[in-house]
Amino acid sequence: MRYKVTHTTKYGYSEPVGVCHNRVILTPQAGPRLRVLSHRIVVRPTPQITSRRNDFFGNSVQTFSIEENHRQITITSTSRVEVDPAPTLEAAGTLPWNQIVKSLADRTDPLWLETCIYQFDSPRISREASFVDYANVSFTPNRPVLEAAMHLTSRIKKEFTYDTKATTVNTSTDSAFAIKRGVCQDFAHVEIACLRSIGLPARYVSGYLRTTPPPDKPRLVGADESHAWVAVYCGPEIGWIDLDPTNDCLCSTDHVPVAIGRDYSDVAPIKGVFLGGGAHTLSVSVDVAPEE
Amino acid sequence: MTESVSISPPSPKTLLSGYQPLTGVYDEAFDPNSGLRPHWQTLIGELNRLGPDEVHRRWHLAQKQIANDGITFNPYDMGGVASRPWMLDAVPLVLPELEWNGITESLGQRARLFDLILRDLYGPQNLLRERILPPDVLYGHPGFYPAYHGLPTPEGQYLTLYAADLARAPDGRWWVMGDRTRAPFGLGHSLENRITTSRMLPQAFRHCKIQRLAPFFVAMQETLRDIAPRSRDNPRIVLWSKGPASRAYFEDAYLARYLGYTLAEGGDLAVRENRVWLKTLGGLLPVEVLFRRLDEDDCDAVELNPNSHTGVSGLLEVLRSSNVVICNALGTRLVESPIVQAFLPSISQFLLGEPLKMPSVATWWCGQPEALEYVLKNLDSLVIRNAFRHQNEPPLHPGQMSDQKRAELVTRLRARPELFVGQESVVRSTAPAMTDEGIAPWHVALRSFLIHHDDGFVALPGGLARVSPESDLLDFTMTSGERSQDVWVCSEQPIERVSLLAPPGETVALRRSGSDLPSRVADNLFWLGRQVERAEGNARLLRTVLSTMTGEVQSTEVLQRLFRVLAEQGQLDPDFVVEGLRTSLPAVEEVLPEAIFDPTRSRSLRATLNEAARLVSIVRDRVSVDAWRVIHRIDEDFQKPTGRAATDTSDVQNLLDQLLTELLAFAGLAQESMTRGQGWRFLDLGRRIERAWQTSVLLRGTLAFPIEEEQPMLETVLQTADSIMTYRTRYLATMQTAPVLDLLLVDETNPRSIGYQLQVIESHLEELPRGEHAAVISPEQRIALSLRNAVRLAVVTDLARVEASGNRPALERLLKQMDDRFPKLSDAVSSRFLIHAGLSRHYGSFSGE
Repeated sequence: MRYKVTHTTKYGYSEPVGVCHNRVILTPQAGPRLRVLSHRIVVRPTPQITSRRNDFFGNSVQTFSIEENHRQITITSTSRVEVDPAPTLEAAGTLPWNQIVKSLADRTDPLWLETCIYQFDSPRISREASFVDYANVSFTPNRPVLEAAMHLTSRIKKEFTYDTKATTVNTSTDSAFAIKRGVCQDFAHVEIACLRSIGLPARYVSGYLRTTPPPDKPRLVGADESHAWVAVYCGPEIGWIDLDPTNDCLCSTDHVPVAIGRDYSDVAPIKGVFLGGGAHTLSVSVDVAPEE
Repeated sequence: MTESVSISPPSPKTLLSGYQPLTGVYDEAFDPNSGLRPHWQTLIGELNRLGPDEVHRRWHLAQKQIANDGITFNPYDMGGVASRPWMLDAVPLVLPELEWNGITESLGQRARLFDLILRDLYGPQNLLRERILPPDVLYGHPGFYPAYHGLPTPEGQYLTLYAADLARAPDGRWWVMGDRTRAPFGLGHSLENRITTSRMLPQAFRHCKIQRLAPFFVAMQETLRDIAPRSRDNPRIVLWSKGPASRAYFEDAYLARYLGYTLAEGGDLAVRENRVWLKTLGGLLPVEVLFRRLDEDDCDAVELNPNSHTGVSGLLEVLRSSNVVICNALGTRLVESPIVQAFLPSISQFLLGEPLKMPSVATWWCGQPEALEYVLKNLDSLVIRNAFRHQNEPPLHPGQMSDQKRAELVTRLRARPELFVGQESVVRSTAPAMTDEGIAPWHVALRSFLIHHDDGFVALPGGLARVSPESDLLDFTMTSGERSQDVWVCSEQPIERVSLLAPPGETVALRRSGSDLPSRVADNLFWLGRQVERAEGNARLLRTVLSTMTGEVQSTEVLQRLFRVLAEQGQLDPDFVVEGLRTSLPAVEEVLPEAIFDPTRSRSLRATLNEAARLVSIVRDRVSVDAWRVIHRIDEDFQKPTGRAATDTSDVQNLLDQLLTELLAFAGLAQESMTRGQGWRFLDLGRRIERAWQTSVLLRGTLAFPIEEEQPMLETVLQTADSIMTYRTRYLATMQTAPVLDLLLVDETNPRSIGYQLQVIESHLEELPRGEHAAVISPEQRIALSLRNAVRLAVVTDLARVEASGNRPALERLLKQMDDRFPKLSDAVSSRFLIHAGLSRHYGSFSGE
């Protein structure tokens, strides 16, 4: 499946901003199932300093600074990508989850070092007994890892209410878990917390989701969303499998990944500081257009 | 010979008469078999020669000097916590050179090892891969940021400055109790201790052949100079302080002055064009080397802790392009975690192929099941610490806990064992310390410092010793323990003289202090000038009021006007002016001393002095030690009289007299000892603006609406404005309004007149750095010029004329104009030169749905 993804972010200020320093993660990373056909980020006004590098997680990070007075910034990221369908997996045939946990703890799993960072607490996610209890309902002893993970994903979808008003971008995983409400970011954090609390490596994936309009309506440009989901480690053979707790599904051609990290704080699309500016406004539009 | 003096039955005269080394504890000075150890004999002999009284007298003087110099952990009070002066003991800790060499060799190995660990953890991670270290050391550390990976470090070196906390066990061996690899604290205090102690015991200091500290600082300067990415001859090196609120600020300022670096806070630095710059009055100046004195997490709000206000936004990007270097490198805090100590022997074998030369205190990381079992089994004899020392958590002593607390700890240990280590507790050695009953054996902790130099590490021959009657108290932080001691490493050889000044052969480029004054410092000097002058003006007015109140000729009308000025200045509640004077006069007498000393009233004299003391402590690297002392003494002397004298106005009058003398001393020092650079200019500018404003408030309150019998009023005004002598010499006893106004308002030869202040202000503004619009007159110049013209064009006889309405409209108009414009002038100066940047803010982050 091919898409043209356009992600536009606009900041407006009531007072001029003299200087800003930014770090953006808006570049899809090519992977086994994703090819990046073309990509560019355009920033207006044109930054004085721009650089690009790969971060610790392998994400492509762009930094830029604007060092003259400005009242608005527009960041437009345009990517053409091709996504392959996920391989079909027999969930019941995957390794028992506790066997994976054990060989990671023994450091006999050949990927233990690469995956171990995703077992630890991260800025937004702490392992807790309450997450263990919640996860244990799905992760019964010796249950195949993917089957258990999909079960957990379904429960989150069923037991949590999608509510854009209940949480903000800074809501902690604990409180989202307590009120069982939130958006994709909260659901992903909760699922990661559950997986890590029982010893499985789990990571946060940011990206885009293609939305399908109702059958009688035309596709609305710019109405799509940036999205987030989870990847869980399923042993050295299979590696990482992407699961979407917001939609209760295995990720395939509807999901376009951009970046991976321990949690949202590692992959926030735009981070930065600015001087001055007074009140500021923010508008974001995402368009995921399927191409022939 | 000295030996027999010390171990023979004590004569009542010697300081060591009661010295009883504890059993089962190593004593630094006494060997249980042979008595006083040889390297202590010179010092103890000298102390005995001086005798207890003389030693106490000198010690007392030294303490006073420390208090006067304001050597504290925190130079001004934050949140009501009183700053604690640095307590120095009268006796230094003496170590023989031979033993010292062994210690520094071991610590040099340890510093090299830590550097290698960091290179590995942020690089190939062989320590993890080969399972020498558990990944918790890196990824389990609450202060771990992925951004630390891949950052260039100065010539590949992570650890530049390292400190080790040592204890000597009963068997005489030294143990490392803890490591400091972030921005070790205590170097400045070691220096200050050395200076004070050598002044206190000069003969002993000479005879003991003590190794000098200066070569260490020379090595430090060379290291920091050599890592500069460019201009290695004379790179701009900035000592990056956390700021005046931090407990290390005194030391930061002290070190910056000693090493010749610019002291800067995050707010003084900025990233532009992918470089780091120092914001100065003259514009931005490039910085080559950052010597950081704050935690790495707080260095860049964009990529590290977003809540930090001490950082420089965008710094990491500049580090990546190697346009600036920082030391210690970012991420060095990992290796000071107690968890690392548990694995250090095997790491040493793995990375260096040799055993550790000095052991760490025995450490068990509870993340390993066997270790946890051991710790739980031996809980009462162990010390429990946070495995990462993230927030400086205090050590726990389960053996001293209540049953309930102990049970809670066990629950925590079982729930998250990987967050804790258990450590053996070491009974530290004792050393002679001064007490009221003579010299007694106190437990001692030693902090040593090492700097990377050439291919290895150089140790400070000395360090910081802390002593306490209880061994446990020394386990926590640098601020724990009762007192500190200088550390003397006694040499066998004669001592070479080393100075931080350039060697004679090297020519130093001549320089005049230019515009590289950080804007924040200029701002502080400006406000220091204003506060000091405000204090002087207030004190003069208060003195006049008090003497009028108690004087023989009490003029109620004069007093009423003076109260009005006091109220205008915020020193008195406005009620006193409104109410009938007769009923309120006794109350004023009682209330006024209260109001003067009330620090919570924002414009009371005491509050003004507090603010001056705060400012002078912030700019202490820019003002002379004498000037600092004067303000510090004022801060101490100007206290509300207690007891019977509390309401006695004559005591207050004496205090005000003394205060004025001291303020004049400060003014004199500023005038006579400060170079006429931008710093002095801002200090003086603040003073002039404040004085002109104060005088205009005084004149407006007293003379714009004249009282009937004006003669006493005029005299009072002249007295308050310190111009009565001049007036008398000119006009003898004739008191008239016009000559008074001429003298205080227009006369540019009277250094107390408004006209004189305006003239000086104008010339200061002329000399301040100009931008590209030099040809155009600037806003602050415009205000100053309009005020000066108004004063020069004023006709004094018009000003003095009383209209039928009973007031002086021309005078009132002119003074009102001043009242409006002096604050504006001050703001204009601030916004042009001093406010370089507002608070930086984060983009409201967002996510998808």
